[in-house]
Amino acid sequence: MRLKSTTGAVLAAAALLATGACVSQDTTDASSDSALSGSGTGADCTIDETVKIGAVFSLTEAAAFAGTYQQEGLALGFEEVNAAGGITYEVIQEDDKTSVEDSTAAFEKLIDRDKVSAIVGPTLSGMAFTTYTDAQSAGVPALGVSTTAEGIPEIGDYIFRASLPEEVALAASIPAAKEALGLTKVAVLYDNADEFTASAFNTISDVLTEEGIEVVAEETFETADTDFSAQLTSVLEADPDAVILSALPGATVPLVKQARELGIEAPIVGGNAFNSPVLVGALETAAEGLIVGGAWSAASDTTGNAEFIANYTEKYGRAPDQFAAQAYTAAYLLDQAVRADCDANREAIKDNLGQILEYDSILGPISIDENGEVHQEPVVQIIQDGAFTIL
Amino acid sequence: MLQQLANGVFAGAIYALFAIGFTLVFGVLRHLNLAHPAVFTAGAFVGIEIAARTAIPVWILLPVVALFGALAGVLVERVAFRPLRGRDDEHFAGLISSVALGGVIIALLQARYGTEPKSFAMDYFPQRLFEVAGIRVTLTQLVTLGLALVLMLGLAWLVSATSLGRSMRAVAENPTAAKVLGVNVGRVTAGTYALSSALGTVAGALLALNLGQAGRDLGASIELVGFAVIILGGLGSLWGAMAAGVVLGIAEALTIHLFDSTWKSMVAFALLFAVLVLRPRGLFGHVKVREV
Repeated sequence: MRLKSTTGAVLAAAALLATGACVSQDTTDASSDSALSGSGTGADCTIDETVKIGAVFSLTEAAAFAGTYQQEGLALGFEEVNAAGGITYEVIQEDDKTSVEDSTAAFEKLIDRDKVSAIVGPTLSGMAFTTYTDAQSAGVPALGVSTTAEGIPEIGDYIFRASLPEEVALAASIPAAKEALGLTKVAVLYDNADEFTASAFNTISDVLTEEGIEVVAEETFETADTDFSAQLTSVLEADPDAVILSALPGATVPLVKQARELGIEAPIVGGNAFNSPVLVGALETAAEGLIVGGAWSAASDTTGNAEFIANYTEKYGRAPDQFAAQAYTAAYLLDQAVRADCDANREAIKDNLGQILEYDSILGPISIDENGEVHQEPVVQIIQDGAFTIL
Repeated sequence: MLQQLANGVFAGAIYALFAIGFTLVFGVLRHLNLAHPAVFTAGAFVGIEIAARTAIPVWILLPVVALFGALAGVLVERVAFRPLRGRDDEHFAGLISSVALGGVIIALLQARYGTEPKSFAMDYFPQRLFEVAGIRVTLTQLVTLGLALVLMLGLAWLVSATSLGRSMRAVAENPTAAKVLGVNVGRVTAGTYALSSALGTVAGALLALNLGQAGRDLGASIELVGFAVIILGGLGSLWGAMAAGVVLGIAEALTIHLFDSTWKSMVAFALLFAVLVLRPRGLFGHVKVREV
């Protein structure tokens, strides 16, 4: 049986309520499961019952490039948190196959059947708009680690994110690039078929106007495009100081390669999509000089970053990326929220997740406000000799 | 503007190479082989893997990929079409079974290569840029265009001047009569699929070389344009597919140049629609039902 609508989730919650006090947990009553609230506070908090955390990531299909890193990062995070003792977390992992239907089904399973305390994910904002409505009406806190689109935290008071919006990342990288490279005229290339990159384009335009940088070429493409020679020809003719790119990772690799092959040597400035060792590996020498704004950098000396990179690389045999780092951070943020009142019930997590202030994470000091929005400083990096270097 | 025309021609050469493999099977056997895009994708992945493992030069790589394609083609025919031969719904059933086989091929690619796109090493093929009369072309583009021309002309020669070509045309005209006259229809069928898929896999490898990477959706991304090329050129017509590939490539490049990428597909398919209304058999189609 697959409950398809939010009504389904609400009905299931109502059914649980109706069966009375013997049901160990329900979706709205904070005091329902005393086994999930422990004794002590903060680091001394002890909860006897295992705390179930749901995770929904895109482990296969289009967004698997991100989802697999997220799964690993989150697992590593909870492994470390569990080792600290007092509370045992169990991650119930679901694959949404990069599809809205599967994502919704996964959320409903986690909410109704597994009765998790909170959910991390999904990978894509497009799915979050649907699944978060379900989580909100079922009263289950959801923490997004890559849902960067506008309007996500506004879905409701159970919805949080620890993922720096693309706009913030790009808005930081443009002034940094201007200062470092003395930009006066740029070309802007963006994917206008994707909501996320198209909204980033608006931010880019605003920042460029603010910074007094002239736009000499403005070209668009669509998410599934693979041949960019027509757009790049126009960029080449405009002879910009730099190219500002807002694209999803799928288009980024062929686009940058083709640009370099066509003889565009100007630096390319991008957002979150650039922030991945996989991308740098796939681009090989074409990655040189890319300027990347993001939430995390392998080159940052933030608290625990070096250990995170070392442990991750040892455990999974590949270097972590920003997706892994943000998911890893989510484990610690959830642990913080649980320990605040030593209570792993849904209501308690919801109340405390929105009060995290300047938590010292591998992403740097990070805060989540009561509206569920994340606050942190973006990192601007340049790729030199195949490695990320802080600009 | 000239540069955009050149871009269109290069893109069109790949479209045409994809399309002639597809249209060849249709022209001779009346089969719509919808596994063709998957075979095309497989060509790209196999090419990338062989290049990474052996570092053989592209001149040897492409024939090896073509050989793989030929084998794949024979397999596609055996699995998706031959068991259905002689049924009343042979053509429709074949269309469905080839869609299914295409799905199987893509799943196999995922099992072997994972979900991440793969690419040729940057230094696998020399990155060189030429400037001719103000038009910038890369060595990869030149080689692609040259190879596409050679392959297309070679195919045209094969169909018109060799005994296999004669048998193919005989089967295209009337399979029963061809059989009566001693043409080995089974062999011609296998040969047609082998040729078609060899062309398809080489086109896939060339496209991956041009684009810089190949994902599992490589074939799907070119599929619709490929079908448009085939219909625009006249189903079953080799020359039509070549010309239509270039026409569509140029139309797309100019649309991006003059308007916006959003209009790209609209212009391509509006062109297709207009041709269907004005010349229902396509630009090069004839009244004759079948041709090679």
